[in-house]
Amino acid sequence: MAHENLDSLIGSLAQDLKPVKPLPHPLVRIIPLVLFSLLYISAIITYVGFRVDLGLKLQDSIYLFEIGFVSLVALNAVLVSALLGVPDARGAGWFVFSPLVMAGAFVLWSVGRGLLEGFYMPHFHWDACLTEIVAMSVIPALGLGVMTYYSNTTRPRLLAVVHTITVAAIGYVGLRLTCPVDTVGHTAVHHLIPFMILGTVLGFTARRVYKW
Amino acid sequence: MILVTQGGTDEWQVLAGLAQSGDKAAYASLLRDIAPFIKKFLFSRLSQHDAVDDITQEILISVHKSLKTYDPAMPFKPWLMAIVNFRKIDYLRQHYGHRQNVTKSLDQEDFLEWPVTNMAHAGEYKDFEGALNTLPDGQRKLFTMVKIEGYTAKEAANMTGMKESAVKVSVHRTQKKLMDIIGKE
Repeated sequence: MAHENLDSLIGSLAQDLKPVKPLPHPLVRIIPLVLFSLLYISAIITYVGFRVDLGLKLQDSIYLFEIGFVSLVALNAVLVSALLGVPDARGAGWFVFSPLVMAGAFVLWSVGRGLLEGFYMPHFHWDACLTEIVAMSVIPALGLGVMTYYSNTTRPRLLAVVHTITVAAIGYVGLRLTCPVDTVGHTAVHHLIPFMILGTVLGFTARRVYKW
Repeated sequence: MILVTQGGTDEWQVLAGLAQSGDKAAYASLLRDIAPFIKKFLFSRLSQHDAVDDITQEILISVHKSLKTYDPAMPFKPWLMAIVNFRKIDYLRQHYGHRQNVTKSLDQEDFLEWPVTNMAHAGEYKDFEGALNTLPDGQRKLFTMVKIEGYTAKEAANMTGMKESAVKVSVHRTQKKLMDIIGKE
């Protein structure tokens, strides 16, 4: 009986077959998303306005390292998002965990900076920088959503975390170019906590969200 | 020139490539080839053998849905195995999530064969209890802890102050003794 079912299923799947174009390599797939996100973030930054002391900050090596490193985290996370959209992740192996390692390194670096410079934890205002965070991350997040729609992941939880890191890193870079507050406390609480909340929710619902 | 390895993996790679270009015969052949492979894999890894056919069907549907994600330049088997493992875990999550592992349908024939629900086996527990009562206290206590109450040999050893190996030996001997007693009756 079961064999009959299996045979009839194979027959109907073969009948339903339509030619499909294999997904391009993940490096190719991310190009539109990266370019679009760059253009979008640039537009938002131009609209909101650069931080007033940007000229001065561009001579600060720590600030430049931070922007550069987080940009690299974002780029790496976008690539891994594309890889995780394929069941075997194109044989990427340990590389799919690199955004987590890089994000962890950034957190450690921030803690180190906080220990040296002081954390200066702010009073929490739920709306501080929130408009900019939403403005900067919604469209890249939608772009990731579209990319995921055409993918089939077998690691939904990891993909949820990597998506969160991607959006957080893109938003973080944008905010560091517009928000003039540099303290570790402010950047951690106001720039990253919204993404942590989003990531936690996404992590718990990943199997439903990325179901296929 | 198609090179076919012993396991047929490269043949699957070629068939999958043809399937992506719309070759229905190649696709049917691929699905017919991988179905027994998937079933064999699941049989060796799942204790619920009655679910293997359902999961295999689920996997074949997943292969169908995600065919576009396969890169014909890459080996087919890792791609397939990623889907197989994903669907297997999905099934196990659902199975244990719904506590299907501790519930049994009254419609299942094997359930009716269980002594507690089948009158033909009524009294077997009494026989067993009777046999257990003939054992010395210490031996009975150890056997009850490990085989009935579910303690591990290590836990039982800690609770009784015995060595773990001694507990295992004692339980094994008790089991043999009980089988002898029940067998004689």
